Amino acid sequence: MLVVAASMSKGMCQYSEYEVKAAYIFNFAKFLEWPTSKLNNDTIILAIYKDDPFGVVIEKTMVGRKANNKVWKIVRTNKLKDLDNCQIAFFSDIQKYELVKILDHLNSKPILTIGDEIIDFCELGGTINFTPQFSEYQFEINNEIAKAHRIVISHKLLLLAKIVTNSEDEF
Amino acid sequence: MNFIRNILLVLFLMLTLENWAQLNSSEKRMLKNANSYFEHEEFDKALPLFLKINEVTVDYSVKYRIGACYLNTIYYKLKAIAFFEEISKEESIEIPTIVHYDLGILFHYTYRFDEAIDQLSKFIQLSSQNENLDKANIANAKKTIGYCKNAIEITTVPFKAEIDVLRHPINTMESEYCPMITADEQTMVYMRAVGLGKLENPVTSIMISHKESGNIWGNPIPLTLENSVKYAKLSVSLAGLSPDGQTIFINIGIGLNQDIYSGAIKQSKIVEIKKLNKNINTNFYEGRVSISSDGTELYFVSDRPGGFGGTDIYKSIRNRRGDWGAPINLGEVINTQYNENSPFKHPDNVTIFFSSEGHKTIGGNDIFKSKIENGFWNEPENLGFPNSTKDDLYFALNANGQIGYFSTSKNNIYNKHNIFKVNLKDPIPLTLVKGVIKLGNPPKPGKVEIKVYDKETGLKVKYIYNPSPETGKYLMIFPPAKNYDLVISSGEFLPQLINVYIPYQTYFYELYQEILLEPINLQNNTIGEKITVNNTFYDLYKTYEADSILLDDLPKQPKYYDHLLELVENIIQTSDTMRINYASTDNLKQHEKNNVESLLNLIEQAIETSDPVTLSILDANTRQKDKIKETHFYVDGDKSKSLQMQIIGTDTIYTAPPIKSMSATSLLPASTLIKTEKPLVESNFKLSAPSKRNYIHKYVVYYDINKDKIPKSATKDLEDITQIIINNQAIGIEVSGFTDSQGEKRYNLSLSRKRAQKVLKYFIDNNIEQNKIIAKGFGEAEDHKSGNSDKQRRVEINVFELKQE
Repeated sequence: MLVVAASMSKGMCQYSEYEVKAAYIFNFAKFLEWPTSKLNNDTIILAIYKDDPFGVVIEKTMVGRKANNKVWKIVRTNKLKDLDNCQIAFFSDIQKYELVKILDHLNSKPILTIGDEIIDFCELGGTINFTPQFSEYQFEINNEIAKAHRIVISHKLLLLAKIVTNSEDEF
Repeated sequence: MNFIRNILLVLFLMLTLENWAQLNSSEKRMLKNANSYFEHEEFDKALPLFLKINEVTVDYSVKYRIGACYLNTIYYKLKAIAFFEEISKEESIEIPTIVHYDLGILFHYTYRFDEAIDQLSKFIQLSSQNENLDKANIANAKKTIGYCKNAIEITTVPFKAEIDVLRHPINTMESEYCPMITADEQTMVYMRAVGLGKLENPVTSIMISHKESGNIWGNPIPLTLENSVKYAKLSVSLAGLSPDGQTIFINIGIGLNQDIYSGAIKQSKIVEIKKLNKNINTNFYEGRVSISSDGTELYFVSDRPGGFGGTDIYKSIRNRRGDWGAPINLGEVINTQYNENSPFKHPDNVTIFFSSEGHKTIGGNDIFKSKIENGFWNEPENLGFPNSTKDDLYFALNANGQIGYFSTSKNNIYNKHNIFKVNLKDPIPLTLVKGVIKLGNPPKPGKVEIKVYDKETGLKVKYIYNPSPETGKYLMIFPPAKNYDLVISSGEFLPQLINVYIPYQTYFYELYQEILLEPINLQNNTIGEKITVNNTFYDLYKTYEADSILLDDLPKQPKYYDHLLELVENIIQTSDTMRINYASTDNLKQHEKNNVESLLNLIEQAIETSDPVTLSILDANTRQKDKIKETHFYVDGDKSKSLQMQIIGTDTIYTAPPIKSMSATSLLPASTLIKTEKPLVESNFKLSAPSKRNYIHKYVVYYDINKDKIPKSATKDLEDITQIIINNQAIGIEVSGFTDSQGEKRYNLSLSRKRAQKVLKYFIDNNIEQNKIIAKGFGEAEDHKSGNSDKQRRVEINVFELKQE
């Protein structure tokens, strides 16, 4: 462990939160499949809705690299209808009511929704949610929602996630 | 060290010329010419001839003269050693006394301290027997013996520091010196002299370089002065840099009459150049400058009368008007009869570094350190490790006390300086806050002022931080275990009070802070403002804790662990070799790319092999962003009524409600590090007392006679209101329906209710919680009874913020 401690303490390769999150998103795309109709061209469009915590980090991570042979395009938007054309929609700082409205709008469209440490994101109908630092798992997945969006998530990814199911006490 | 002495007058009669006979006629002629040149002090012409003769014969007088020629060059003095040493070992001949002196000085230069003491002692002994007492040289010999004794003492103490010469593009074949860094070590300014030893007037310039990703210094560019024509006939050199990099100091003058000017760096230009006041600048020499991190103290060098001799270090304190007060000599503990130079006040505000030719030096200028204790400077300590027998100057240290920069001509026969970096491995517990502040929508840098108060003592930190209006960047340095209030003022927004707690720590850490101030607009009115504070910690030592947390789990999963180590090692190796193989911008980009690549691969591998441990360690080592967001709505929609009185120490100030910045969270144990969202407003809007409602906006929908349908013209405005409510937890609305005075009262009451209910339904359909809407029908409106009934048929929407206890 000394190797890690010594070198990390120099600050040489400590990554920032959003560098790591960008790298996760990049890899999520490698471990899931969209329905073929949705990916008829060679581009994965990542939409960042309203609040953008990444800054230039996301471009540095995505642009010029391919995930499953698809190039990335980053779109930042304030408009709900812009989300319809993307493969991945990312939400960071958002009020629950607005989120519910959006998730409802995206319901069953083949779009992967990713939440940034949003409480109850997966319970409310989001697919993948990042968890806060030092959580047992780094992200949580609601696979039922993924299926509703016709997105197939690799079991390898599911193994590393906290699995959230749709609320059972609904009636 | 001055070798220009009258060495020629020494006679060589005692040296035998027994080999004269061995020379052929042309060689004899050559020797004759060489001696003639030598006697006319044309050493550069004599030297090559002597060297040729030395190849064909052994002649001690020739060897002596070669040594003497070398001694009179500028850059090759050390080559004299071999020749002098050879003749000094020859017992059969008697050598001039002065050779012992020269040899002693040269031995000292080359760290052969014991031999230097021998030779110099011999010189003193022999020359004191001589009637023509060589007083100056005897004094210098005694001083040099002192240096050697110091050096033996100082250089035998082992040091832990690592010293590296900076690579291209900072150091070149030319001379680089006088490095100065910002406290965060992201910007360096220094001097470069081109043509030293080649041109009669070497060209000097002030250079600037910024750190690029991968911790590598970027390509330096020269800084030029605004209105440089004005200074064309004067010499311009670098004098100092403030820890936040906002102020640069330069020396401008002729010869020894240098003055200190301040300026700001704007891209490749030094702008706003101003001469410091008459307390600082006199008709004498004023040189290098260091300003304390809080901006209140200025240390500078001057040879004005009244000092202890040579150049001394003075201190000036900023007075109430923000100008520099009368300077105080730092006193005889710091200043000696020799020159003191290049002061550097560390951001810890207790340590000063400076160079001196006095004190316990090992030769030339050495770098010393002194701390202030109970208001007094303690005995300066020779820094030891970076100091050489030559001039060591311009020491500057970053805020964490680990990385220092200095320049020295050590190991460089051309007397050219190079810039070195030293890693002291001994951090100082301070917190460096690097921030950026932006205003408006979209947020842009602007004119902002940040005042800092120490909460415990109630004292205002004297320095007012003015973030650069171009970039919005600022830099502050705080000692640990303190509570600070930052008051941020900018013209268009309410003054904001942000509390920052700097926890107790025994080490150094950096906090990256981003402050955004945005207006909240509703229907062309600004009804409030939103302040967002992002804190990201770059805690260099937290990783140890994180590691130990993980270590408990490790034995269970050795396989994962090995795998991780290998991966992490790969990352480290990639970055480390990149660091060592410094290089062009292409390589830097490559380096950054490799870092991203490593991270992507690390995560991909971890997913591929379903390896949670790697992800946990990565998680634990990630720098976190900590975000605080507050929205202030203006009271009654009026900005001026929205200020709260704050009493800090003796000052009373008016600001928006204070914001607590959770700076301490990253240092809490992991278990408490679960991010908590601000508690949701549980209060029932409907039951809240009207006094708890802060009305921020009023909107009125008007209706045609007997209609309850929301007119189309109102839709856009209702959408805006919806958005404000959705975005803000504490916002509710009162929806009040009214009718005109025509018709039956009962009917009108029912109609007013219907109008209010339709508006209520609109909001509920748009995802507004019913709890936030207080809808009521009031029947006939009491106003406009005798006048315009169009204004009576209406629904009033009052947007309010529910005040919290």
